[in-house]
Amino acid sequence: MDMEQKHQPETREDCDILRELIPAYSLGMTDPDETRMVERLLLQCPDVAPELAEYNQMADAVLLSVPQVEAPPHLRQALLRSIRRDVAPAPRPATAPRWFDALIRSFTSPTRLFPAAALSMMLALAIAVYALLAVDNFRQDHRTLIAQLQNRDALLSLLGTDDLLTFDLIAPQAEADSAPSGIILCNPDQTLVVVQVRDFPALPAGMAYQVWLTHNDSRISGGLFQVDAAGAGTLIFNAPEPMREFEYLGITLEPDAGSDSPTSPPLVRGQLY
Amino acid sequence: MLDYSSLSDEALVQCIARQDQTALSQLYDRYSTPVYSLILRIVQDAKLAEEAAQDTFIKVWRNPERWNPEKGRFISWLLTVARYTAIDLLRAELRQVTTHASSLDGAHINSDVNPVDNPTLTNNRLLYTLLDELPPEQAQLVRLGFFQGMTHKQLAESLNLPLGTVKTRVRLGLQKLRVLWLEATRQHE
Repeated sequence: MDMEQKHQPETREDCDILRELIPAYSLGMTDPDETRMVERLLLQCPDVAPELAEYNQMADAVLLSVPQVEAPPHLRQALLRSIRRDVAPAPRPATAPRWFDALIRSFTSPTRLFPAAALSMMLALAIAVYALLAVDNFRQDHRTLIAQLQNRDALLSLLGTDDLLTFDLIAPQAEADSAPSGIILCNPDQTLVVVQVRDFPALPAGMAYQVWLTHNDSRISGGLFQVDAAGAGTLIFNAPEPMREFEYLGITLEPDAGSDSPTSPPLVRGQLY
Repeated sequence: MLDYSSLSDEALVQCIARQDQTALSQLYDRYSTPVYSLILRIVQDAKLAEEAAQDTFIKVWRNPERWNPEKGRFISWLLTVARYTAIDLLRAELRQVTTHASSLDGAHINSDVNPVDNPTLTNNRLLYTLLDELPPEQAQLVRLGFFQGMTHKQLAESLNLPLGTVKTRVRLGLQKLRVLWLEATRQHE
């Protein structure tokens, strides 16, 4: 029977067709249209399932039946070296605690000025956040930890100012709720910047997100960061100049060693001032 | 101190999901030979085989969740990953591989290798020799299909055969192989 001719399907014939294709299907030798047919007909012909299971067993046996050759000894070390590179700690923490997230969210007021009475609470929270981050980063290298402690002092200084501003990071073609987004926290007269994002796509291997500041059409890198499984990430960095000098902040996907200039369109972008 | 050698494949994969490098080492020690052997049979080149074998275990390291214990044994899944990794590499290299097992100069062939906890490996080795009992035109198609990942249409185009002829030979060859295999398996029980 010509399998290309489609007529009113008769279950018995279809099951016979299925039986003819099962051996090849079990070894991955069916063409895509045949594969789709087999998977459709399996639902109509449950009696064929045990035969498929037997052929699958045979396919497994073929995989195991080739003459055995020991892998060269150096292959083991090469593999372990590769996976050690995979687990090397990221230069920045991938996540911030949830209450740091809430702290940052509390800065989304459009008017951007904070009553002096609330500042002391904010400062206390910031100190606790950084203490938590320091513990979380215990396994990171010494230089990274020193840099973060220095950032802690700068962050406290940032939070203590009256001119703290926030800006939204928005995806260029934002769709529903799951579009990537974020906020920028900075003082126009200072260089310290806090960027927090959410709903970012998972990073492919060997890639990172890179922050860019725009000044007169030139792009200046603010640094690289990773995101956690939920797509959340935080970057704290020092801009080369006070933040009032920059017009936009954007984030792109780049190789994890960083790029000299953006190589892809921004996932999110925020207009400053 | 955890004795990794006593852990099941499933337990080791769970450890790998927690980035446990020792668990991956244990799986490598357990299965490197069947993985390398299968890949070497497909690519017929020791250097390519090393590359594909390493890629295979790296895939396990990066995506351990892709193995579903309910769908089959770990070794079956691992060798399927190895098979397709090897076939992809082979295609990328655009190499022509003969249907016969070509000489493997320099490769250490150990016919007595029998990895821990896998006595089925020894029993199944006979299946490879059963392929020789098929009619040559059927064995050729089965070997090309399985070890080079070729489908019916690809075999027909590559060998300049009618599609119907390819399908018939593959079906008859595999049906006969199944009978031979079942008979041989029963004899070994």
